[in-house]
Amino acid sequence: MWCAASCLQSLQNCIDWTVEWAQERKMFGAALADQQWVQFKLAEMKTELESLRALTYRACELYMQGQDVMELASMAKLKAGRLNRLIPDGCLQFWGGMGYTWENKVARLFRDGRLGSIGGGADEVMMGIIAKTMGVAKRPQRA
Amino acid sequence: MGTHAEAMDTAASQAEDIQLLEDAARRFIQTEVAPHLEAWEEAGQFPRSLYARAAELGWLGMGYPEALGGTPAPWAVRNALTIALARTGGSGGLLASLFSHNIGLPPVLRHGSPALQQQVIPDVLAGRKVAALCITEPGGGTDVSALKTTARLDGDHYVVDGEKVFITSGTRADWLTVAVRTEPLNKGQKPGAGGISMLMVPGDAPGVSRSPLKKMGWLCSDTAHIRFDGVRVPATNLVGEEGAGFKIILTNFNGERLAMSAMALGFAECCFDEALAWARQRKTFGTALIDHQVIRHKLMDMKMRIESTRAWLNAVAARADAGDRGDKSAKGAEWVAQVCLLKNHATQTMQFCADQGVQILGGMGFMRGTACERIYREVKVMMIGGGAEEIMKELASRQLGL
Repeated sequence: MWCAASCLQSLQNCIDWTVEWAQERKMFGAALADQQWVQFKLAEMKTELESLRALTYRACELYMQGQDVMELASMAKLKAGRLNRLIPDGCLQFWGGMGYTWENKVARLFRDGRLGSIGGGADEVMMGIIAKTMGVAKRPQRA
Repeated sequence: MGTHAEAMDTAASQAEDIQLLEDAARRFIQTEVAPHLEAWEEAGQFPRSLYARAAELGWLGMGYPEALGGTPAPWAVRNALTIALARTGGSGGLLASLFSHNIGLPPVLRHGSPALQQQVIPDVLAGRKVAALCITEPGGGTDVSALKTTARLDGDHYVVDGEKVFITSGTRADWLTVAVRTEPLNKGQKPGAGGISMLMVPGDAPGVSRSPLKKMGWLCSDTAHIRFDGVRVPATNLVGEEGAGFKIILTNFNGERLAMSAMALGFAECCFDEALAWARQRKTFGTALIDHQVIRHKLMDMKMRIESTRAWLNAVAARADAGDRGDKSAKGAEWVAQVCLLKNHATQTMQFCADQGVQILGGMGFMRGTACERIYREVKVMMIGGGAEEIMKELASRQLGL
């Protein structure tokens, strides 16, 4: 849950910075933000982020009420890892060559974010837990 | 019958050429690159002597006419070299800078005067000089018609003012192939795309100042920001005619995109090879990683994309070769659309394989020193440089008459 919560703001920033950039950046005589593809891509990413926020908050609330949130927390961690890859990648594309410089803020999230799907239990470990709590996978047998 | 037998002979000898090239590429990477690559990536460049070495191996001149010091070679053979270098561990930065002449020279090769060709090309193919292409500016990359660098005719010289950015091999190139705006300063050309020309500028000309850029990947490629302040260049350095620059640039892009597709395929295979080796060796929960069904499925998803990219690349390259042999119907608008879409598909394959490779390697995949980690950082430049993914789709849809 901490992993999921801790990336909400940085992903929000990533989208906000990119919206600003897209409004500023001129291309073929118009702002980048005037391209329908850019608008839809940003809308898609924001929607993904809000669904992660809702999932994380729900897991936290139930946890604070003393419930077992193993499954929801694992789902939030999984989704966070995925979005840590998807959102900086989608945003960086619109920054063009500027996004490939080391100092660029979105480029940093692209590099750093990749750890999200590995550290603190990889995506696959999360899916393993979810599969078990769903009852579709057997409990682990220790060798 | 004779032509059929000849064709079979040619195919057999080409397959043999490719096998020899792949072996040579592997040996070169393993013995002359791999032991030093991390140090070069840290240093932001590789030794300049590597250009002479690549020339000695016959690689810099591949695809260029013998009269200029090259060896004619079809795309099928050139791509095989690119793929082998990328697959066996050549980094994107190494390949981009070592072969930057393949984007810097074609304008001179196709449109330059014989004197200019002799002045520029043989030294570059021999590895004595380095060539770079300068198009992108701080205000625009893919939108070429927006470029602002100017070249004003003053007697028998051009005076160049402006700046270029993200120039591969830019900090040490001896020849800069620069896109400049000659309209509205000189003859009465139309504004926009019409007023662009190509000019050869010596890297050490007074008024040229360059500074290195720090990038996310392609670390050992020397990428520069270049300023031109009143740089005087002989008017004979003009490539082709004034105002022909836009067309030259657009034609150049096709070759660049095809070569990038081959690079992307090689990097995707490099990730697959590393991930497979790791999955066989790594034990988790008491069994080898490869014994987990989802890991095997991941590897097959990678393989599927690799093979579709290879088939498509070979088909598009075969049409390029047919076109180069004189078949006019081979390289029309529909072919250009295929090149654009192939570049997207190949770089998406590379991204998918780098991403899945990092995932299979786990913590190791986040560590410097693994190929998957490096290629994960290198993929975005492939999806942006040489025409961003979105621009490729726009261009392809226009070529297809949508």
